[in-house]
Amino acid sequence: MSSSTELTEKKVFLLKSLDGVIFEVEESVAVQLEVIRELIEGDCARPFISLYNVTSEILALVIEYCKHHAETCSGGTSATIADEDLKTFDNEFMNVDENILLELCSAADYLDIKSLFELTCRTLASLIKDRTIIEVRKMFNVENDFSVVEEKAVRKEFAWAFK
Amino acid sequence: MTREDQVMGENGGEIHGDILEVIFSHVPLIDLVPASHVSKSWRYAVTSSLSHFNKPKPWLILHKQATRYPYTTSRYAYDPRSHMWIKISQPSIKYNLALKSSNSNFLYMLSSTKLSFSFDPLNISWSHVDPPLIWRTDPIVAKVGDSIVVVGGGSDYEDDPLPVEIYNTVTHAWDTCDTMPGNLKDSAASTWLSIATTNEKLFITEKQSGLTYWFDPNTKCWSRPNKLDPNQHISDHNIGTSNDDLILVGLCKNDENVEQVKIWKVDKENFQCEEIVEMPLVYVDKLKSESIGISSINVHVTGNFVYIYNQSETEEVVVCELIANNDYRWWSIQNVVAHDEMIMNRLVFTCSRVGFDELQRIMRSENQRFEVES
Repeated sequence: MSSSTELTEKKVFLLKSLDGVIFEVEESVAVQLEVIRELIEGDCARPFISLYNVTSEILALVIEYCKHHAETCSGGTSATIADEDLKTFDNEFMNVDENILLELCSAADYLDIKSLFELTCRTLASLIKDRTIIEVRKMFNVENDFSVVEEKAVRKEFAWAFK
Repeated sequence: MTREDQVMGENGGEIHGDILEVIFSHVPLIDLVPASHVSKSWRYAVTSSLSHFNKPKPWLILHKQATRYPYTTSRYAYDPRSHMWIKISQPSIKYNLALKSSNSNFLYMLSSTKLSFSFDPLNISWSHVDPPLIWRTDPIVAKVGDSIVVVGGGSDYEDDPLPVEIYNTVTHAWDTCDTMPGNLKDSAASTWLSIATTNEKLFITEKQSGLTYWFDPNTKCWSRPNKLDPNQHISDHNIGTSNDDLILVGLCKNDENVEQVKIWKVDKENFQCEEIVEMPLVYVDKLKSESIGISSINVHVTGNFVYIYNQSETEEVVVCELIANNDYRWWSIQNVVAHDEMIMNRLVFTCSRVGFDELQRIMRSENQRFEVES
């Protein structure tokens, strides 16, 4: 945060989730959401910003993430300690149910938060490894749209990937 | 509507294809094979991710072979796209002879009764043919277009340089032609030579002097002698073909007597060398052995990847990725085959472009499996 904004009163913005819950966030947190930063710059952020694609449950998590990152980065700690701290936070933050992870990932993409998008993509990628095709379908809510014949052939040729 | 429906919109809970492509860019190549059979949209996203985000990159393959009969062999591959080592399951044939490779992904075994060779990316298919007419130890064996060219090598009976023999993989016939140039007579074994191949030519460089010839198996002609001389004293010359370019990787010393490794692009007509990049000193240090520094390096080049290691100490391999617009990325990898395993074993290095379709084909059967090495 630049020193000039610190002198003035802290600006806050209101974010409204899909299910109508309103969250109050400070500017330093809000600008991490690229989509919102653009709205703020275009002076289109009043009275509140409606986020039609994000539920309150996910938005609360997103704000928690952005808040921690904003505080750590402006906290005056050395870069290496901040890095370590963020790493620990990120690891714990990713320790959630797969459905939440999928929603966080989509939300990070929609809200254009690069670091969170990267983090959730990496975590989801690691979940694909070492899982059977059936497990992956279930975990990612994927409908198997192969024909019966195609599926049968795959199950035969790649039997090991179903075990 | 369920909560997922609302969040994900019309996809009904499935993650969007664009996002999937980014997720797949972090998934190791071998794990993308089963992922492509999850659904049709996943299959599409895998293909699209591999062509837009994180493309397959040439693998470095280590064949660890026992020095004694029955020459038990295990294989490990480093996939630079996924930054990991993979243990490849048992080879498709029994290697009952010493494995050799002169460059790239061409692997062969030579005995007095047969020549076996393989050049597919993971050496699954092998051809077994009559041996060359003349017995030789440690020759250069390379694939140039449809020809397998056998050059040099020592012999107990012959003092003269040995003739070149060419096996045509289409007509399955051997042919003999001119000997290799006399200048290379004293260094005719593969230990002293570095080679590079294009579809038409075999390039041979004497590692110590940089003396270079090309041989064209179609016309059976040798070129005139050329010297790779980029105006710097190079103690060890190694060549390779990066895409269509001939490159020279040289070990040299700067004015302060510090070892350097540099890469030059070589003009295939006039053999002029143009420096493209120097290895950062931190990686040169990784190649050094404690007692003797770097005496000699070996180099494997495929596509835009150059793998470099110290011949006498193979614990670290330095990787250079030649990116477009004169950009380069250097890093080093630790050899997964531990030092103490090398007492009764020898290592043969190859480098292959392993594509996704290739991997699909190989993983279709139970025979070829891949395990991630820690």
